[in-house]
Amino acid sequence: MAPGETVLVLGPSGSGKSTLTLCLDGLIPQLVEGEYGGRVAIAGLVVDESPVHVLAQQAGLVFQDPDAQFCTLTVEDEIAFGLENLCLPSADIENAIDEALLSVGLAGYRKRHLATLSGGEKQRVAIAAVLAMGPRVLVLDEPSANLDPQATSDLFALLRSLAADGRHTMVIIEHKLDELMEWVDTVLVLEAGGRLLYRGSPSEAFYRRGDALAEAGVWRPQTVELVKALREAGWDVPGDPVDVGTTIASLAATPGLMERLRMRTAGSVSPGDGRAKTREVVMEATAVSYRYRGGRAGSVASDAGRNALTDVSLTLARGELLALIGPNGAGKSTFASLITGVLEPSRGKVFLGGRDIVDLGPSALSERVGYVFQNPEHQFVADTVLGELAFSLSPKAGRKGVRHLNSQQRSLVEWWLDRLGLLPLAEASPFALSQGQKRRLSVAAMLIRGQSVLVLDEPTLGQDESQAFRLMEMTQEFRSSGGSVIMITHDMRLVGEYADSLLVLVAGRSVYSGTPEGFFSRPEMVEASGLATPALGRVSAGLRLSSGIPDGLLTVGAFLSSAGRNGSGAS
Amino acid sequence: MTPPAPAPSYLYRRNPSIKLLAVVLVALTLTFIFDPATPAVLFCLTLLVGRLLAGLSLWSQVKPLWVFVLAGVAILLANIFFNKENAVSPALVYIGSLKITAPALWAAGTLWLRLMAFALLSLVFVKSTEPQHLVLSLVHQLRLNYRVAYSTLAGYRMLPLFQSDYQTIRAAHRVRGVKEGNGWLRLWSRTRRYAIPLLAGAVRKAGRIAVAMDARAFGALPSRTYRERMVVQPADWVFLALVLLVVAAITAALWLAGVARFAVG
Repeated sequence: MAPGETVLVLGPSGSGKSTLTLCLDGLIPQLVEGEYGGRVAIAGLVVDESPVHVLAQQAGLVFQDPDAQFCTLTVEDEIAFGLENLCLPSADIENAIDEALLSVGLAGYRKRHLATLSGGEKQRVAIAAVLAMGPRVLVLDEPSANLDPQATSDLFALLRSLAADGRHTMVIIEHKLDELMEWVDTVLVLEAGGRLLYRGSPSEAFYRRGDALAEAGVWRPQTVELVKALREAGWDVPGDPVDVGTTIASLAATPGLMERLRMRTAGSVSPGDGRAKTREVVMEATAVSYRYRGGRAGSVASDAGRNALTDVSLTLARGELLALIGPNGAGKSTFASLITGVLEPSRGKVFLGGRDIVDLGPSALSERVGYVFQNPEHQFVADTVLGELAFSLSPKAGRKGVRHLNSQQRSLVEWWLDRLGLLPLAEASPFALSQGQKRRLSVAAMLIRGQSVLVLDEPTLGQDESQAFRLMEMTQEFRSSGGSVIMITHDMRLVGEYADSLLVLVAGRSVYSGTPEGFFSRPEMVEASGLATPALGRVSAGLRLSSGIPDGLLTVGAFLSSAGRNGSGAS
Repeated sequence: MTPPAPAPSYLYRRNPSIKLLAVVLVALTLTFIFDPATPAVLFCLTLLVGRLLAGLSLWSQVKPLWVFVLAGVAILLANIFFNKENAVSPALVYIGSLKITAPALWAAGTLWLRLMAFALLSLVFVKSTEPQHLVLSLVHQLRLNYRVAYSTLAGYRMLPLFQSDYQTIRAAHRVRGVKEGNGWLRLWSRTRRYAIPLLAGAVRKAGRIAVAMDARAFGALPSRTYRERMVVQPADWVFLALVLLVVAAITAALWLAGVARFAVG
């Protein structure tokens, strides 16, 4: 890596991305045990021969979970921590703290307690804490994983400005690619087993090696997928654009494409288009409010007495996928807890198939509504994979073995195991599965009872492309059999690709309810809600400005169905 | 998530090690006292100190002690049933066929009030001390190894995360249709169900924190510097002396009045 270079590391789960980061500052092989071979050198220092404290000044590591990388309680102590370890005199430390905070845009945060910061602020403090040590190389392992869309954009803007001054070489592991594409110099792709699959420029990676990347289960920018799909449909898209800006220019320069889009999309994209005319309402929430009682464990004191939710309403139709989005702390999880009966509304009612869920009772409710929590491990209740599925059908069988299931239930469990590819692991502990397997198992354990509504909390968090795809495939199948899905997510790409409708919450209130197209074509509203438009939505909006096509195209499919095949003529 | 930071006050500004020493000395005095009145007086005194010198409202001091009130009931029952003096002492009152004797009440009251006084002392200490300052002071004044001290602090940070994880897991299991049995028999299976995901999460988190600390050169050198140094000021010694003086004066006065009794061992 050259000084000042920004390298994006891609690869499926378990391909050794995080292991690589630990090699970059000598924690591997010096402090983490294992077999190590090869040679890593930073600024001429070979990592297995140089003292850790010398290496720590060359490479700074930032991890994805802010709460698992702080070791003190306040901002200033946290930044001082590394400098104190290097035995710097306190006067130097004081200066370094101010300087580091200034460089991440947090001047004035010095005395704040870490617990009072938002996720985005915490990540900035983590970056300031390593910047203070003056490293040449910054290594960031999925720094945006726990952040909402606005905080993610802010973080990426900060990283971009740090990269731009040329003083820092950066290694970033991320799968939110579309925003990074504009300024990343090099892409490094690892495949399962930790072998290097590719190293080179982003456009080279995604256009020349795209198939190999897809096969390895690596996330690719949505813009690249769009260009490829258009080319396959016979459109002669010039250049190999990887970011939103160049994609807009390339599409605008594609012979005939703009004319076709202007013609085809005029008036055809309207809310509710292509959706079933008769909506069979499955679930309804009417002006639901919730107020946490004072002294609730785990809450900040100021939460008590404040409305977590105010007058939020919802209707969910059979087969519909509704995305519940909004910044962190907007009340998404609280709302999900209300419609699944985990909490009871302070005001307003939730109806399921016309009946108040309070009257329905917890066990009848859990037969109809499934709730998949963010961390699959939190929901495991049995000792084996088989037991997890059996438990959903009969708690007794989950605890004491499948002999307590009848033959029909037993074959249902086996059918699911086979479908999940978990037959060989039926007797393994659910905790021993891979991230993707855990997630799919937790969803299956919810679907096996034949629920009609499924609530998913951040289903694709920490999943690689192929894992996320398989998971969404499961949801799509569930929907085609008549199930309805409510999905909480920060992943706007997922929202654009799968959601029929949106419910946007900000500070406990509903600010938008309707189609994704209707929401994302109003940038001022998106921004005011602290959210971000998915990459293709931005391409679509850019084309509206430059070429006058109606926007609101959020998916590759939407673009394709508007553009049609080139040469096939308008039909 | 994390308990609110203590507000600056007279007690807050005292050196944590000296404060700790004061608490330990008062607690030690309590262990030699065998009458209900002296611990009760010390309890009230601590309440007053908490109110006036640490700015803690009386309610915020008393409310967290409810567990110890429950413990008091248990102690009382144990003494009514099992106190050795019961057989030889006259009954104060009979409840049904249950004989309540003065020694039983005396012993229960003494034990319970001592427990309450211990608990309140610790509470006021915790609520008036910044954890970071305590850690620094333990290193600077009591020569605790800094690696141990900072690792403890990192562990302390995890406690509220643990608590919120526990809440989430409970809700997650309820959604799975797990019946929340409230009998003692169910306790074991419930504990086990919660413990595995909690521990799996904690181990992973602890590992990550350890790596993050290593990456910032923690423990790489035999010593480290400190941005802030905890020092013992004359005012801290004055505080300690005052505490000892007042406690000694009170116990002496109560002893002279024939109220306080001492038991050795």
